[in-house]
Amino acid sequence: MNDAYRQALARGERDGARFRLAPSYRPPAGAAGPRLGARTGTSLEFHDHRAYQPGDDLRSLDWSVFARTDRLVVKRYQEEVFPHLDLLLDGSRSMALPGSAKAEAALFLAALLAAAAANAGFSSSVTLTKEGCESVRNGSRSPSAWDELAFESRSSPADALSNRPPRWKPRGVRVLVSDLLYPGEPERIVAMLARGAAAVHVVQVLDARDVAPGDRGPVRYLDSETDEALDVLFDDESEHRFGDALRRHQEGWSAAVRRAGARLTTVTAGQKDPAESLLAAELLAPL
Amino acid sequence: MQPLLSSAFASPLVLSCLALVPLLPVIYLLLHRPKTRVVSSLFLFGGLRTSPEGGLRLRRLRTPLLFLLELLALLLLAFAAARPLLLRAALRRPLVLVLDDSFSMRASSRGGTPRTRAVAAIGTLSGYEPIHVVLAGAKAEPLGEPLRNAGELPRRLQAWTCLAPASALEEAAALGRSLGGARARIVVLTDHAPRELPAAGPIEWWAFGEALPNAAFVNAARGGDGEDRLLVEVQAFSSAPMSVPLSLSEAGSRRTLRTLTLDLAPGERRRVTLVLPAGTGAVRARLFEDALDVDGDAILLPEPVRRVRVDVRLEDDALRGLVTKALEATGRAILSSERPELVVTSPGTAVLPSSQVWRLIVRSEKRGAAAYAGPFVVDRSHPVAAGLGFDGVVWAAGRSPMPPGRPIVAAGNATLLSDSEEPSGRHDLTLDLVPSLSTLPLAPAWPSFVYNVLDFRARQSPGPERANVRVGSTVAITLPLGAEALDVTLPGGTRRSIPAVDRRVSLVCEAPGTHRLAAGGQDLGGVGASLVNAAESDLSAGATGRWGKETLPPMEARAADASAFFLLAALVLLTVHRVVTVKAPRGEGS
Repeated sequence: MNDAYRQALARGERDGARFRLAPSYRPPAGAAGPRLGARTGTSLEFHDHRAYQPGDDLRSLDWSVFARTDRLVVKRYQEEVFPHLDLLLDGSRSMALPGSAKAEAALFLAALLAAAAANAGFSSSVTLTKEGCESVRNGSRSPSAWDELAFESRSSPADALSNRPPRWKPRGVRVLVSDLLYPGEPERIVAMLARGAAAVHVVQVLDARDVAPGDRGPVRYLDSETDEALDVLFDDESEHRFGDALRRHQEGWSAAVRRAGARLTTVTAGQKDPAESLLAAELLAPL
Repeated sequence: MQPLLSSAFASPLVLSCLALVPLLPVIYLLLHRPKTRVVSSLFLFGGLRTSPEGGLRLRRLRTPLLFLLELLALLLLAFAAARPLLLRAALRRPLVLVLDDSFSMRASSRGGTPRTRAVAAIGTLSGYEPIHVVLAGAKAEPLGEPLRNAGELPRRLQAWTCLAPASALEEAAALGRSLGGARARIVVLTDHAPRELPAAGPIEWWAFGEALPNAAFVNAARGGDGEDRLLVEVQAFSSAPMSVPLSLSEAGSRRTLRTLTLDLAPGERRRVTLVLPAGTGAVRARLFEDALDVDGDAILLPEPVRRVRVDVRLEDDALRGLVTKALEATGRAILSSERPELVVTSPGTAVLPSSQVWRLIVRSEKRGAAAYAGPFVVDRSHPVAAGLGFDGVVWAAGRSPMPPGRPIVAAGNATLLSDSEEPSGRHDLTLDLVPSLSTLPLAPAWPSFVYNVLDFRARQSPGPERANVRVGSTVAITLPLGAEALDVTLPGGTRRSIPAVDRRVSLVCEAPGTHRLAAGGQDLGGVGASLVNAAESDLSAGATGRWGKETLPPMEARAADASAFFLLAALVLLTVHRVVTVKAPRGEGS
């Protein structure tokens, strides 16, 4: 693994020391919509009770206990007792776009999230999408110990999840770090992410040129993952159409993520303080 | 005026920037070569893919068009920067040739003469129109009408004889400037360097001379009172002593009169005189052949002794004897009553009416005579008064009415001698003199007066006023009664007829040698002309070289700066370029 990646991990771990992971938990599995308090699930999910404290989610109240004892207690689920962060890193070639710092930004964010998770008492693991999902070597240790990280896959994260899904911990917090720049409906990957997850967060890392190519005149564009080429005469109208396509794509992801009860945060590589975006998205909280 | 022929450029060096034109296609290829860029995914660019309806074809068409427009605009801008000149008219420039006509141009050396070398150089001047030729002799004058082309020059140059005693080059150059105008190229062809170039316009000075030693006659004369005396002066124009053979021979019989060798120091002038036997005809004086022959050859004709036929018709014996004696003493009077040219008479004596019979009327009435001891008022401009002095003279004259005509000698209000001229040229001289009461007949003025009267009358006799002149001089010739023109046989044998005005002709002797004269069937003798001019014979200032302004080309272009047209055309092309680049190709994109 190259030095730039290691440095990005080190910076992320260092910056992550200021934060703690504060995910927004999704409604419990099976409890969807307006049915608050009614919960189905397995015992593997329900772990313990604790006294209700103001601010607790009312949907977590165990009304059966209240009925019996007149005590307000909330259920503590596995995710509360044994919180875990599953980081899913997009290992496709587009993440290491030549001339961009997307890979370093993604690694920085992953390391930052892992460090913040550790500060919040989470355990963590890192998975890299290749043709399938593969655990990152030393991924459960501190980010500086992660190794063998490379962005060389020609497969999208959706394909990787389909081909060989990772062994996620149930009721964990799952964070996908990807540029999301691959065709296809986002609902599929979002659904795969959300299944059995306590919280899902998608962190999109883009390069400035992913947003605005900034070209003029004849350009031959090469797909970093498929090596396909496309000759385009990039002019003002082309730029306008590209912007529309990107916006539609982003909106699609936002809708899919929202429907899954997850959140989407977009960070631009080279952005001054990416942690601010995560703070704003309430994925992080200062220590 | 020629039509538009071609264009030239005011700043042709700017065109060297066209060497950069090949860079345009290189730049075009580099700039318009599609950039290759790796992107995260092409799926967002799919909407930009060109449609199959022809957007790609249109783009291909646009590229060569834009390139062509840019190339043309670049060429037009380069031409505009070079300031193209469109020839509105191609005018041939006039040429003025100022030819040194002095005889030093005949100095011969191994390379020919300055004249022959100048003629060869003239052959290099072509393309001019018209061509003016100005001869610079003692005076400047055009040599014929302007020539249309250089092909006519050789024939015109035949009249360039180089026999003038001097060359008025500055005057000729100024004349040339006035003939050729401001656009003319003026070339002075001579044998020496200029003292300074004439200020009048761009004048080129071409010299073809050489510094050469030369011996020449600087003076040649013949005449004398009572005897035929010949005088020549020889000068050596050289930096080394010269031994100069001189021969004097009779031109007709070629009888040698004298030969001698003059050993001259550098620059020395030696005089040789010879009294010629009576009856000697034309004498030819010759020096040895050197670089310049014409100034070593002089012809000297006997000066005519103009004698006047005089009829003395004075009644007073004493007076008659006085006059007759004085006439005989002059040696120029033929006392005869037949066909007199001058009648000395008393007032009232009838004289045959003739416009050629002058009268000297002597009024010697004693009654009322008064004696005048001076001061005498003398009209020195009158030929009769030449050299007359009346100091100590007592001049007695009668109280006669004022004589007609122009007073020549007066005392107080008394006119003692007068001249009345008729329109025909006949003169009546009136002399008031009482000899018995005067000392004038005993004074030297008396025979001088009589000589002057005869000489005055003699000048009106047919023939030249003098027989020997320098080449370029003018000699007056009186024709006989009834003759209307003078027939001249020039030294080369050419004959000319010159009309007379009031029986007189002014002949300019332009060539050395004998000019034979005749008029009205009468032989009037001849005039000998010799090339005698020390300044021209001194060849030490001969030089070869060219001085003056830069050569003016034969063709003069009247051109207009056409860069504005090229700029405008470039602007149009750039506008079209802009339109093409702004306009979106139809059908391109999704």
